[in-house]
Amino acid sequence: MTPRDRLLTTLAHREPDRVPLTARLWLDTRLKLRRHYGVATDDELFAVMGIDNGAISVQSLTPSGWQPDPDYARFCELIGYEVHSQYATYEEWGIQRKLGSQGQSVLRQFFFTHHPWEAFTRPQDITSLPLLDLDAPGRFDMAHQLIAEHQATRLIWGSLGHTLWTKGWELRGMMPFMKDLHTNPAMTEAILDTLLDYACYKATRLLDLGCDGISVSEDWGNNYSMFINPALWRKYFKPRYRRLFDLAKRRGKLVYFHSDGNITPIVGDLVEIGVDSLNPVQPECMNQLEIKRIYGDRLTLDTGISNQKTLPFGTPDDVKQEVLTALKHLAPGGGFVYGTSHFALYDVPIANLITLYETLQQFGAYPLQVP
Amino acid sequence: MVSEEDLKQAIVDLDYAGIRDVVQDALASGMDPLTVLNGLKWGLDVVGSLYHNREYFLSELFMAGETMRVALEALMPALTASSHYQAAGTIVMGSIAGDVHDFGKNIAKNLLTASGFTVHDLGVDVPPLQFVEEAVRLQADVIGISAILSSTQPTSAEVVDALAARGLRGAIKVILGGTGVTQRAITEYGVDAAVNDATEGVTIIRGWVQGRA
Repeated sequence: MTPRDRLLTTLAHREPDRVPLTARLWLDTRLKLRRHYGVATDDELFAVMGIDNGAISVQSLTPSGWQPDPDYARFCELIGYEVHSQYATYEEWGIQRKLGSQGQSVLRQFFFTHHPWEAFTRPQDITSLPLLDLDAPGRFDMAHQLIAEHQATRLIWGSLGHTLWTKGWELRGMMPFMKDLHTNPAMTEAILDTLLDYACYKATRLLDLGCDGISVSEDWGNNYSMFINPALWRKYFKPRYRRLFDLAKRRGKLVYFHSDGNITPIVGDLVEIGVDSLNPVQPECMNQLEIKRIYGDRLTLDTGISNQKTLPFGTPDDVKQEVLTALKHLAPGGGFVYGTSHFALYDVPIANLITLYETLQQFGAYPLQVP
Repeated sequence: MVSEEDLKQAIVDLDYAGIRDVVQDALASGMDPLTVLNGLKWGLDVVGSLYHNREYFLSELFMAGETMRVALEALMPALTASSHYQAAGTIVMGSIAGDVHDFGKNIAKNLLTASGFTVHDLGVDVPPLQFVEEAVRLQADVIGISAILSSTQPTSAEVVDALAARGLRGAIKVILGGTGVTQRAITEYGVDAAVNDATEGVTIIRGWVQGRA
């Protein structure tokens, strides 16, 4: 079974030969693991750890000839980004970021210093803006190449990245955008419709290239609850997501949705409007068993071990117990992908990562025999 | 005739566009400015309860703070002229070194300002010593440290130690806030309070300051 077939089988809510595994690991961690296993490449590492990474994501990048300014190149060097990766499109949007004082330590993070739509006061300030030209030469060259290279063995997600909410506040500023949502429907709709049109066109281009589906990445919650009231979400966001997801559904394609945080109130809505796979179904704050019980026949849980608690602070035995519990209750019937629930921070104990994947290799085969 | 109940309800309803008129009507009808303030604070308490019950969400907490800010703009001239009014206290706050998250901090800042505190926001990625130096300079009652990451929370101990080194440990309270913060922070880092919810933080700080009055 290829990684692609394994993933497609679980997405169809049937049991493949074994649970499909993902690994969201930064380079530093992969290098430590490579040293531990005595291998030279990521491919060798993933093979020895049984990580099949059944999907790859492709996206629109900066156009041919785009050159970063020196500040951005330096920012990338410090934070560990490829200069021409998808993150460079922030530069094109005019969203400015700065690296935190801890630089290249485990706290490698940035914060926003400029939101280009923050000063706008009228809806037409936004609707009249020229957006990024998705037809510019070179935007999809890498996507095209990756699809050709991997489509026989990997499922291909056409990644829309931050789409309506997260892109909206990155452009507008989080507080101004929240204020719009509560006090200024015309501005809210101008922002969201502008971004929706852009996302629909990007999705069409990616699906035309041969992607198996689209993926959307938004962060709708923290560990306690959602950033906005689910009623407000249903008023402004749900109908627009539905329009976007319908584009894929009409072509028989899949929809993948990422959101950190506790988004329990909207899981049913996401299933209703066509989400096939939900990530990460954050284990620290969502009742995964209940979600599996209610939606498990329609929704794939693309999840993993607790990234905030067990992986950094637990013992290898804690890791093993959490994996076994997940396999026992979430894996039956398929609709289940497992690994790290998000990118593991750089300083997680390697012993815990080794235990995670060794346990999955030992007990993750179907038919399940979990102690 | 505007009642305290109306003032409370305007905050609960997040009546950002109408709150100024409600406050001005209350004052015009002869309501004591302190009574107006109490009505508004009552509304903020109800918003906090609604948040705890997951009936309100973060954007509603933020908008309650914004609505309160507009209300206080309308109320302040009358309030400061009142002989009974006293500012609630002074707080120095920021996201600690290594942490660049500021949304929770900003919510807390809004709610504290709305509760009558003078808040000095040092921004994000703030070195521990800067909290102490600014608190001393501004004669603050409280230092508020925001730290969302488990890896940045321990740095709050450096603030506590720096206060102790200056003999100010008892004089300036320290509260740590952040979505992943637990009560363990009190014993592990020596802070006076640890919260994962801005409304709870406001309640604790109000209690401290009232206790001193």
